[in-house]
Amino acid sequence: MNPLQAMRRVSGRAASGSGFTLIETLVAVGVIAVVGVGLASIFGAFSDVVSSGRQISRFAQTAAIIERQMREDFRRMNREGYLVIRQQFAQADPMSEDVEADPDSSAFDGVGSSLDDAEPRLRRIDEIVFFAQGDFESARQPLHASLAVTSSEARVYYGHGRKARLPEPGDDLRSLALAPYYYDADVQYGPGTSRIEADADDRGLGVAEDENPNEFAGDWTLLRHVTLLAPPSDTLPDTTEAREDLFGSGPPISTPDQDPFNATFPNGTPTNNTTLVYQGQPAVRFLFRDVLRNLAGQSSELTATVRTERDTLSPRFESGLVDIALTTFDETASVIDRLNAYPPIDQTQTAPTGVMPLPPGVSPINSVPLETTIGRFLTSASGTSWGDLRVGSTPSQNRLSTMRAWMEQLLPAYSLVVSPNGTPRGERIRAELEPTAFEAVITDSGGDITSGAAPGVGPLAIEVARSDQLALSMSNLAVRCTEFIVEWSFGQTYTEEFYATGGTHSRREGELVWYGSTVTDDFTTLEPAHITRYPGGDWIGGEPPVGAYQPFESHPSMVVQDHVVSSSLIYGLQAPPPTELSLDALTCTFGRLDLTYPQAGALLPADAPLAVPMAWPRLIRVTFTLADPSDLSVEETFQYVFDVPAGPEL
Amino acid sequence: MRPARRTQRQMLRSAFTLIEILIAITVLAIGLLGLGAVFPVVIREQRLAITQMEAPSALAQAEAVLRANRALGTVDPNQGVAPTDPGYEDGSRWSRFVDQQSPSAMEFFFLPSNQSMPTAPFDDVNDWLDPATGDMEFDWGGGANTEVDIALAQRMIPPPEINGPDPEYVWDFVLFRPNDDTLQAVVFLRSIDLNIRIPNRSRDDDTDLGRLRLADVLLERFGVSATERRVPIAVNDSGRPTGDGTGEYAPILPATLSFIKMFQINREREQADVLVLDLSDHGDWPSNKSSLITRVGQRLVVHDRVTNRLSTHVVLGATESDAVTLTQDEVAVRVRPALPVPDLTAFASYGGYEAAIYSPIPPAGIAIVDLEVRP
Repeated sequence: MNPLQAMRRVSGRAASGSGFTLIETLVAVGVIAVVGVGLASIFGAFSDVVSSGRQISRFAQTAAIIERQMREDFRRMNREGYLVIRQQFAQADPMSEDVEADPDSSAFDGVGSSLDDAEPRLRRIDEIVFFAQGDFESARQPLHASLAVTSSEARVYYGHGRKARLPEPGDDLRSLALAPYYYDADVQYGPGTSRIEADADDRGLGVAEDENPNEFAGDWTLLRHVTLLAPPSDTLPDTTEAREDLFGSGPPISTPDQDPFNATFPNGTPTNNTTLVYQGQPAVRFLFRDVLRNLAGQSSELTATVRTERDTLSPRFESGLVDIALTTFDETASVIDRLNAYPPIDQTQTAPTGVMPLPPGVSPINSVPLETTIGRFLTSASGTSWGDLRVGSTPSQNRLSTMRAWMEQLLPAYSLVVSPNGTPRGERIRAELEPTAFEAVITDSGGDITSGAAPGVGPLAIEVARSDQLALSMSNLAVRCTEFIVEWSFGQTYTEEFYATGGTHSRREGELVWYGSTVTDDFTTLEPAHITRYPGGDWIGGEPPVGAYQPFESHPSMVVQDHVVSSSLIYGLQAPPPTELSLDALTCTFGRLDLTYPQAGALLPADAPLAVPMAWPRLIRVTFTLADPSDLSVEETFQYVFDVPAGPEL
Repeated sequence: MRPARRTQRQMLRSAFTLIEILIAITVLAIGLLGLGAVFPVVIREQRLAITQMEAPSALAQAEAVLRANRALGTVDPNQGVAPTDPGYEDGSRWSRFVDQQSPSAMEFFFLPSNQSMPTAPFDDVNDWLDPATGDMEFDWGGGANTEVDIALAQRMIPPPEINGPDPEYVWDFVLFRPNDDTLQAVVFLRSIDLNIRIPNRSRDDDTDLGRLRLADVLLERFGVSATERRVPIAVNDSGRPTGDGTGEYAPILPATLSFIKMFQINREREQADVLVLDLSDHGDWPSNKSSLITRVGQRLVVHDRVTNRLSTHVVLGATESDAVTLTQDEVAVRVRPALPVPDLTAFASYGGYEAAIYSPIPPAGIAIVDLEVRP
């Protein structure tokens, strides 16, 4: 075949084989386009289903973990202990005198899930704390496997944590790593003051301030902080194995700064398992928040130099590093139930008239003679049993206030968004997503952590610092938890009478009565009656309101039967009116004795009990909202109901 | 010539005929339809998976509410007529739900019924459950605190908050008294009908209150009229689920077990995993009742009169046996787990199983809750 023939052949084949006309091509393209669009829409829908399924699965997994943990904790709740619930809102501007709840207002105090959230809303940041019995283990990484801390009693806390500011240029990372109690301690604040206090006004949850890592709800973390009650034992643990593993088999290091297992306080008291250290871990002496604060540096027994150069202070729960308390439930209960002295609370709160404040720096256990304190609830000044317990006079009200104040101290941080004197607070347990100065610990950037060259820094300090760093996230239960609501119920339901006289069209006969604000985004459009905040009833006397809870229906005495749980018993004397539309925080305290019994004017029959246990919720309802990690504007709300163990019978 | 012929053939083959195109399009369409048919299955399975995931939690909440119900806690099993009392048949306080001829054995009952053994379950249900609304309201007398009042709003999960998420489940319960000192509630958790119509308007005609939502329709609030109201789980006059909330509130139904036939079939199968249910108690309702109970995933709560305990079984489907002839009212279903009997050879002498209860709409979950009995 010559080239010309080949060319013709190719040309002819090409001409005959290219047989698609323009119309055919257009039709083909059109068909392909139609089919493509159809397939794309089908696969798009399929993809949406799959991604939505994944999203739901992610939410549901997290929610299931939270629910399972809560159900287990509530099941173990010590009904004969104490229960404190604080209900409040995050506020963008706590300093604003008038809290603005109207979304249409320019001063609206709503909080967005992220910077891009176009519709910020009011978000609840509730807390709940109670005692539980069971097998608990410290969440801190033990310095050695043989030194794991366990306990059968614990205080359980659920609530949001708060991030500290990220280290700033010039911050001493080594100091951050080695300052376990006063997180982010910086020399500019000096000993005894930390950023936890110095920055309280602009690091609160939702507070709209520059560089506030807690400004947006998508950054919030829900905590489950368990404080083990581990009373110090007379027998010190055998630390031989730990010593050998950590220090080798050489002779024990006798320098306290270098060996916390062999340290002593300035007064010669061994540190281990005494007041600040337990099994080599930081520990607090009491659960009461402000006692720890006021004890700092003022009691020789509680002044330690064992852990770092800065540890001349008592550990505090706000640091997020402490989950061991060297106390017992009985000791705690004796203070709440019996001590007439007011907690050494800070300047924002004052003791009521006639009540002796506990002096700063004084241990409520060791320094106050409980056996002789006037106002002991179980022994009156006049010697008449229960004679001074009955509410209706100022001393009795003081007793109730004092008991409530001690119970409120069980909340691990001063969490009121706005303190009674109008200053912003909103403290929380510190919680980070990851260690903030772990690198400094690992790499020893300070150059002398392990060498012992610096005062107070010993070879074990690096182990302690490592454990501290890991502890910064030990209580994290759910990240991106944008709202947390705790409500409670006596198990009563709206009655026909309530529905007829005071109920609204949104509440139906037979529906459970829940207490606590249930405000949602259209807060202002709801009538106050939608919000059931109190069990009802005046402080004392007066007619029981319709639907008021009477805890002793089954008691044979009709007089006792008429005893109505008052708002003051649960919310205190200063609680705002029940129908007031308010964003003020409510703190509900449930204790052991009902100090409002019997109420004024009640004539007790001969067989009436001298005292009655305080009414407790039968149900706790927890509502929490989670944000999707890939899109913080996508939020999902979950709600669970838990029953509380039955209380003691009369 | 040969190249020219090839070119002609190629030209002839280069185009598609209309038939070819139509066939191709048809095949493609069938393929796409097949692909599309996958979606409902995927969505249904996903919904089922979510339900299975959420059911334990929802049941736990129902349990918590039941345990906390003070009125139920004060129910006195001895109040009223004892099961062995001749007057028991009158059911002045308690009404046995099944098998009135054997008073010492079976003590399923709703609270309270003024009727004896119900011949029409709906009549009995009406005594405590309002089929039009789903509210449970009953009072067994005896003074204060004897009123059990559990509104529908209390039994929906999530609860019908004004601006909260739509309720997805509703729970109901049947009380069971194994003995004088024990009271149990059998809780049925059911998914709310998916196709309930919600009127497209504002609440109370006030735009500030937002649009009407599912909970408003179920609770007849915010201006929803009685005719617009729907029940969460509905069945029609034939007892068939409607899926759209129209009809009456779906009850919990009884079924009698045909023990002899169960024995025969299970012996033939060499394992005790078949129940034979006699649905004649249902009367004429529903016309095709067997299909409700043989559905895969259906759940049955069976009473063992020997141990006086309840057990829950999942239906795997209907089954047949050449050895046994079933009547028109009977249906044999295979269940999992198998019946707890000592061994198959002792099944005949065991004779414990005689009654079961179930929901015409298969429940998402069932829980048996021990209630506190207080004096």
